[in-house]
Parts: sequence; C-alpha cells; structure tokens
Amino acid sequence: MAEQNRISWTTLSSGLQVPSRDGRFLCSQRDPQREAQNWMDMHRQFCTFGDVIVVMGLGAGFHLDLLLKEFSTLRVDVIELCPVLIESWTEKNPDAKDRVNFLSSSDLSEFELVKQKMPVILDYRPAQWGLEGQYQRIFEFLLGGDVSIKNIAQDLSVNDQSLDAKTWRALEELVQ
Amino acid sequence: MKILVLSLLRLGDVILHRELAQSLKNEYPGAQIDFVIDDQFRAVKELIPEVSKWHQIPRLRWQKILVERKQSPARAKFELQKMVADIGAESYDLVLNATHSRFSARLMDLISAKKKIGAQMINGKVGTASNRWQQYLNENFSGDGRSRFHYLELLHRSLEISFTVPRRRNQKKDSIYLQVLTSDEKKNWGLNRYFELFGRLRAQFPEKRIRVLCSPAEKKQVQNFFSEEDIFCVDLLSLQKSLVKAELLITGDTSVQHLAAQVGCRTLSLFLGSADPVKTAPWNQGARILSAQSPCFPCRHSDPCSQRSHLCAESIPVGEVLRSASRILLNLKEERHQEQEVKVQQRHFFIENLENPELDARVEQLAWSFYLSREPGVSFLPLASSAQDLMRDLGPHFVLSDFEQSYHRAQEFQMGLEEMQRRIRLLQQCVLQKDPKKAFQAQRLLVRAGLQKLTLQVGPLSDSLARLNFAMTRSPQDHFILLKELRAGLEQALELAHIRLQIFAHLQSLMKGGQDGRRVYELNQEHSIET
Repeated sequence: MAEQNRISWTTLSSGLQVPSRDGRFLCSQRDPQREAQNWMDMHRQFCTFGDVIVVMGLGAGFHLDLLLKEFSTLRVDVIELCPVLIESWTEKNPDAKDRVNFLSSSDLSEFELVKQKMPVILDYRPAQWGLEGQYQRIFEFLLGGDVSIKNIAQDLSVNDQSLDAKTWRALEELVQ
Repeated sequence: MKILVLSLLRLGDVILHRELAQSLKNEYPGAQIDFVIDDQFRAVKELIPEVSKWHQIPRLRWQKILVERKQSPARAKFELQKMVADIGAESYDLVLNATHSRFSARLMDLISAKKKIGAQMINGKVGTASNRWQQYLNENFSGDGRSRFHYLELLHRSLEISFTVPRRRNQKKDSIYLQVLTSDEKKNWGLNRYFELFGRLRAQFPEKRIRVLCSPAEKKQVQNFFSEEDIFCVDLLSLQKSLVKAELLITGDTSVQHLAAQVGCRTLSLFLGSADPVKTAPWNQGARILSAQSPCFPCRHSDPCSQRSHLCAESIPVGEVLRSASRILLNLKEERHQEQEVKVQQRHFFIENLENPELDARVEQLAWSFYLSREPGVSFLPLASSAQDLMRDLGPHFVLSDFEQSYHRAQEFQMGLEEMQRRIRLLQQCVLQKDPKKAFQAQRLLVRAGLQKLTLQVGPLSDSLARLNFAMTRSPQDHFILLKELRAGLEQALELAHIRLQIFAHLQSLMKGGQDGRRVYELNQEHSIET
C-alpha cells in the first residue's frame, strides 16, 4: 500500500470521523470544526485575491466545507496526495463535485495548467503530515520557485530597463 | 487635455490634494483630471468631484502577495503591468507626482505620458530634473524634516502649478462641531478638556447646537464623556455635507480640518505634538490656530512624547480656546481686524497665541523662497520690494537694533561659510597631492569643527549645514565624492546666505529711513491708504 494511503479513521466523541496517517491525525482530534473555522478566519482575506484558489491538503475536509459554504460561487482546486481521503470527502459531498477539482498526482507537470493561472494557494498543513516534502515541492512549483521579491529584484541587472525589471523594482518598494 | 495626479499618500493627504485638483482646473479649464490613489482610501472618491476617473492601487493586497507567499509574485507583477497599460491607454498629456515616495517615483518611470513632473527615479535615487522646490519637498516631507512652507504651497510650486490660498466662508450657522480625538495620541488635547469646553460653550451660546465628532472606532471612548445625542458619528461624505452648514469646527491637526476648510467652514485648530502649522494648517485664508507653547513643541513625528505629562495640551488652557472660539463666533465685525493680524503673520493662517512674529524665521522663509524659485543664470532678484512688503507685514514689533543684530549675525555667518569654502579647497588639495594621512586628517578635523561652529551659530540655516556636517562624519571610500558633495552643499548655503544678507541689508536701510518699526509701519499704512 502506498504511503499516502495508510489512513485509518477514528470516531470522536462528537460523532465526527477524523483521519490519521501512521497514528498522526490529519486534523484536530479535539475540535476539528473549530480548527477549520480558525483556518477560515486566517485565510478569508486571500480568497478575494484571485480567480483561482488552490487548497493544499484535504484531511477530513472541514475547512473545505466552510470555504465552499462561505464563498458560494467559488471554484477550488484541491491538492490531496491521498486518493482515499478524496473518495471519502466526495462521497459525503456529492453536490460539490462541480465546484471542486481534485489533483492528486505528485508529478509536477500535472500542475502546469494551474500554475499558469497564478492561483492563490491556501495551505492546510495538518493534512500534509508525513508528505511535507512532496507538498512543499508542489507549493514552490506553483509559486514559480522559492523566490522572494527581494531575490527577484536583486537578480536584476542595474542596466536592465525592461518593463519587467521596472515593474519588479516598483513592487520591491512596497515591501521595504 | 488629460492630466493624471499620483496621490498615493494617506487619507488626509488625498483630501488635501483636492486643492491641487482645483488649481489644475483653474489653470487648465476643461481639462480632465484623474487620480491614482491607494484603494484603502477609496472613500475619498465621493469627496473630490473635480476628479473624473480614479485608478486604484491595491497596495495592501500586493504587499500581502509579496510578503505572505500565498500567491506567486508574478500575480502582483501582472496586475501592476495591467494597471500601467490601462493608464497608458488614456494617453495623458501631463502626469504629476504629488507623492514623494520611492514607489510613486518608480510608478512615474513606468507610466508613459507626454510630460511628467514630480519625483522620478534618477540613477536609482528619487529625484527631479532641476526644480529646487521639488528637492526641498522631498527632503522636508519624507521624514521628520521641518519646513518653512506649507505642504500645499510646496506641492504647487514643485509641480509648477499656480495657486492662491482661497478665501472660503460659508454663511451658515447650523452647528459648532468639536472633533475631540486625532489619530495620534500626541496631538490630542484631551477629552476632559473638550468636555469642559463643551459645557462652557453651551453656557455661553445656549442657542447654538454643539456636536461632538468622532469616527466609529472612537465612539466608545467618546461616549465616556459625552451623551449619545451630542455625538455625531458619520461617514466622510455625510460629514462633508454637514460641514457645509457648520459655523465652526474646533479640532486638532486632522484631515477633517482640511475637509472643513474646503467647504468654507471656519476652523480653530489646536496644533500639538508633532503637528506643525507651517506645514499643515487648513488651506483657507484666516484659518485660526492655537499652537502648543511647550519648549519641546513641535516634536518629531515618529517619537513618543518625551515628557511626563502632556505639556503641549497643558499649555493651552480651556479658557483660551473658549476665548478664541467666542471671537470667531461673535465677532464677524472684527473680521477686518483679524485680516490685519493675518497680514502681520504673512501667512494665510493666524496663530492666535503667538505674540510676536519671529524676525529671523520670517526672513529665512523669504530667503528660501527666493533661493528655491531662482532660475539658473538669473541674477536679479526683486529683494527690495519684498523686503518692503515684509517690513510692512512685520508691523511695529521691531526696532532698528533687532535688524542690526540680525544683519551682523547673517554677515558673520556668510564669512564663516567663505572660510569653510577655503578650508575645503585645502582639503581637496591634500587629496589631490596624496598628502600623508595625518595632514588630511588635520584638515578634515578643521572642516568638521568649522561646520559644527557654523551650525550652532546660524540657527535658521542649520538644516543645510547639519547635512554637510553629517557628510563629514562618514568614512568615505572616495574622498573626491565627499568633497564634491560638500562643495556643492556649501555653494548652495552661500547662495542662500547671500540672499539672506541682502534682505537684512534692505530691511536695515528701510528701518533707518524711518526711525523705528512703528514709524515705518505707520508710513506704509499711510501710503497704502493714499494709494
């Protein structure tokens, strides 16, 4: 069995079912709904930043439920490397399949189309446990590499007066 | 004609930039005026009807994209380029940068237009082609610098737009407004003082409606002192409409004072903390100001209050504010008298609690004005007539010995500068001849000591000297560059000192022509009546 599929389910006293990988829970085992709400509060502001939203990590999917509920017209790409979790969530949410596109490949070329759309990437770290390296690789690929604005601007030649160079320099001023 | 103004500062500044839009309308009748603003302050759009189109920069969002790494930085680049392309498609005839920031200078670089005026990037630094006013604006408004000119005067002059300070008076007597808080603790007079003022105003003017202004964020704090029915908590547009009908606004140094001035509501502003009336007094003839009388006033904008208690606020008693407010409310007849006072101040505003105009500061302002406006190659400056105007405005406050003392100080200072010029030439020779290190150090110390002495000596001219002095504290890799900078700075200081000395000389001879300030003042008064 592939590493990402070693998933077991636990029913909490609240009746909610939460997944774990190698004994490590992929969302809060105390109050996953509250945790999802906190995640939502933290990421809400970014949801209006772009047309394409990518959620990295599904876990039990409570955060995705909230996201879809709050932004009722939003379409989301969800990157989840464990197909078992995708199946479980899709079974519970049959009506949401038109609004959610799951990507579960670890082959970076599969993400090329998404990358071109310059998506907003919302990380859900608990669900990435055990596969952090793979998620990080995809994350950096989608961002266009591990580059900060400082590095981009520093790499520009002093004589470079192209539109791109001038634009990067202007943007760098915003984060001084 | 299509004109674009970059107005990328904070709310109060954008409100002030309405004056710029009005001046542009006067100068270019029929022109389309568009603004670029930070989208956080989009509420001002409704306050400035002179602007046809608004381009909004989502600065905060771009900052988040670039810092928080939730989205590719390419997104911010894509959006900025799209915005620049949209602006380019408008084919502006003139783009004015009313923002003295590096970002706005970079934006100027990106935008294409037939003509661009204002801060742009020159060799990696924010600069301007040749306009000294622009340079002065950049140096004195970017940080905690002091200024001898009002922000709007500087802005108009640096952007080459003609202006007059308007005289707006509404004739309505609907309400008196007290704006009791500012965004900066140091600029607050204190809710308890406003509470006392409120009570005393109500007792003195029982027929008038007095209301306490606040923003929604301040309301809870204000409710501790004032009842719900006296509190007026509205959005900016409603406030603007209310101020059109208001009789008087008593406030600190806030954007609301500018909003009031723009609609002709009379203002009494309390300038405390880092608030500097010379820089940001309401842009309306006859604006009334009470400024703090504490020795530390005005302090640096970014520093917290250094005193144990708020000396600024304590230095303006409630009775004094009440007296000033009463004069405004009661004394429409005295308007002429007030105008005379304004003239004595030679500014568009009047600081009520300033007893005497400061001679040196006034001469300094005039000297700087000539210096900054001087075109290259122009040798004649109409100093004599300006000195005469100044003399008339100064009124009877000075006697001949004041002018003589100031003249001698100015003369001594100019000689000091010339001596310094000689020392720097020697220092340059040391470098050129590759003198031993010790000889160079000795010369360098002499220059530093001289600069320090001059800085202490000159008072009003100390800004430019302090900059030179600072240059000498650096350990330069290339002494040629440093010395070149020093010489250039010194040449500017000398030009200024020369103008200053000439003004004092004119003042002195004018004073000798009369017997004292009072006589000259009276003669001028008689003369103006005769004409």
